[in-house]
Amino acid sequence: MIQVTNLTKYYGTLCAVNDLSFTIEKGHIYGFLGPNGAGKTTTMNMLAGALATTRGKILINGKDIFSDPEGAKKHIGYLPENPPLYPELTPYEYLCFVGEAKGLKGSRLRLAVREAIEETKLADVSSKLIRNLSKGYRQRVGIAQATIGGPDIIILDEPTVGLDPKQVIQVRSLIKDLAKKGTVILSSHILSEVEELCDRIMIMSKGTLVASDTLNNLQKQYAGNDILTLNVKCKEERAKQIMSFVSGVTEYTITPSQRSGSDIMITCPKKKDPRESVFFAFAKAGVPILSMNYRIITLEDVFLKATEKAPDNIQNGPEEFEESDIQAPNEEETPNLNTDQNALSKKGQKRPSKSEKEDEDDGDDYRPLFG
Amino acid sequence: MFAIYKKELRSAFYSFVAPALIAFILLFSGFFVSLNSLFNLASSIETSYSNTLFVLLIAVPVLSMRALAQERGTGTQILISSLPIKQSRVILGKYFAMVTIIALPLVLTFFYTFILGLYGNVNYISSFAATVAFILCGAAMLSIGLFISSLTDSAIVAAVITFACLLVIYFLPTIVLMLPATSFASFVIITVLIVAFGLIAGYLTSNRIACGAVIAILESVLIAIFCINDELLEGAAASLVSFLSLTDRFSSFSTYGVFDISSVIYYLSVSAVFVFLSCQSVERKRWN
Repeated sequence: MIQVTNLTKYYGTLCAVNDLSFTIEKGHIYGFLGPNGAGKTTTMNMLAGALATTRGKILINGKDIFSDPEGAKKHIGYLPENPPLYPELTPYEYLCFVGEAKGLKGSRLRLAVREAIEETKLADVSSKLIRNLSKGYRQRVGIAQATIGGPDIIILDEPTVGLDPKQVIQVRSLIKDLAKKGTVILSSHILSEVEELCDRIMIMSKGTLVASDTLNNLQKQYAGNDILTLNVKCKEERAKQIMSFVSGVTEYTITPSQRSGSDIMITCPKKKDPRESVFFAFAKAGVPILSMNYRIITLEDVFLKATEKAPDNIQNGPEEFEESDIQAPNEEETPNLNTDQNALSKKGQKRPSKSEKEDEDDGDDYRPLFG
Repeated sequence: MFAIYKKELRSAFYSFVAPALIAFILLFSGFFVSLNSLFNLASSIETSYSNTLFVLLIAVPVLSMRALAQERGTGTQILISSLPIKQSRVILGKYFAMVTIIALPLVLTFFYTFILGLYGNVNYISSFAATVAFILCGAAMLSIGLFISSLTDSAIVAAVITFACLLVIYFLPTIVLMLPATSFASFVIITVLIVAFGLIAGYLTSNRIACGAVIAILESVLIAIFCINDELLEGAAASLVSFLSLTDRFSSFSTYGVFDISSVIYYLSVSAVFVFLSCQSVERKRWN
């Protein structure tokens, strides 16, 4: 459906997206996750053909988005981060314009506009000026323009941002409906939303794809890191003594509790649940366990772990980045990774001038440079 | 392209920019037609066109400033870029919509000719030719405004720069009179024009070699002419600047009633060049 090969984007000398390769299959909802400045918006803009690449290839249903842009873009509906609306038009006029620009005419156009209005529940406001609509309705108009004409692939950049809880539920239900007809790619900062909607998750960090799989597979890959937290009614030394009798547990930290006793945080070994042995060890010692919480790895943990080891954004210009600078991926350092992502060499990672903080703040706010 | 054209016209009329501009142009054209034809009993409206030309200095920046700058400012450029339409067609759609808005009041003004025809002998063909030339002159100015709008994200900045440029173009015939006619002065002025042209070419193509090559080739030709026979350059700058003037060319239509084909071709060429440059400028931003 979408095939991305070695996608790279430089803004001046800063690398926003670095050598991204992935494939998007039909009939799934893909979730793009990543911290600010990870390159999600840049990647989505390039997938939609709104931004040119520095290097790499994007094939949409076999059509290259740069050599055959019209053929490729016909398959795509795109909602950017800020809905691209004309406030002086009504939603009906706006959708007619987008439909017409997508090549629809006459009765087909009217039907497509009517369907989009019905799907996004815009009928009540379809004849009001967009400038008078609330944020939620504007977002819905944005989604309607992405869905008009029934494109195979719908790309939504943070579709629920700024909506009230009721509207969020409506938009999520709409996205699920859209996925029945084609493929949806969405980006979001809300992990629970991605967890609920998406059956494939792609995590980006600092311009690279650090994880890409189903949620279950990602959880399995990051399993072994489940955390058991305890609050026990004894002092640290005593707790340490008891813990030494628990078999199979080697990684734990003990700290004095703010309320009473001690807090223990155990990093559970892979495929082993230490709760029973911990319970019996403390019971045998006559030390009450006041609370015990076994935390299975969540998408949040996967996200944090996947993004913490990503290489820094490259500051060298594209001309300085050579083929020899690319090395094979290091599986130990990047745990998942069912992707074609190449790790960067040390030379590629050097950052001569800007501070790390500046890099974190950059990214999704990139604008083409003028002058 | 037609979708963009329709949308642009709709937006312009809904936002009252178009009605206000049409009223503005009609007000001044009506005023000058009354003054020249009703009070001074001139049988043609061409002279009135000549007087009305300065209205374009205000109308064109107001109309063209939003064309591309606002799209980028509000983020709708991303929508346009993701639609399956060629960028050149998008720009042409916008351009023709602007030309339509400027042409509407001028076509209405042409109908004053029929009123004048009731009371005297009117050369309809000459009036029609002047109307066409006026629209073409406006179209050429709009293309310059469109290009400037493609360079910036701010509509106000685009309007101010366009107004300044059109003002210089409007006063070019007067500026020409002040230019020294010596060959050395011509050499310096033409050099400045060559460097400016080369820098614009370099900026649009992001290619320093192309920029340098353009400047080097044109400059070496100029130096060669200057060294071999500097008499050729005497008054050349004034002639060149006068040749580039948009408004000066309109006088052949308005004053002499001549349908000057070379001027028509010049207007069309300026329009084509600046629309092309606008396409290049927008594409350049997409690639950066």
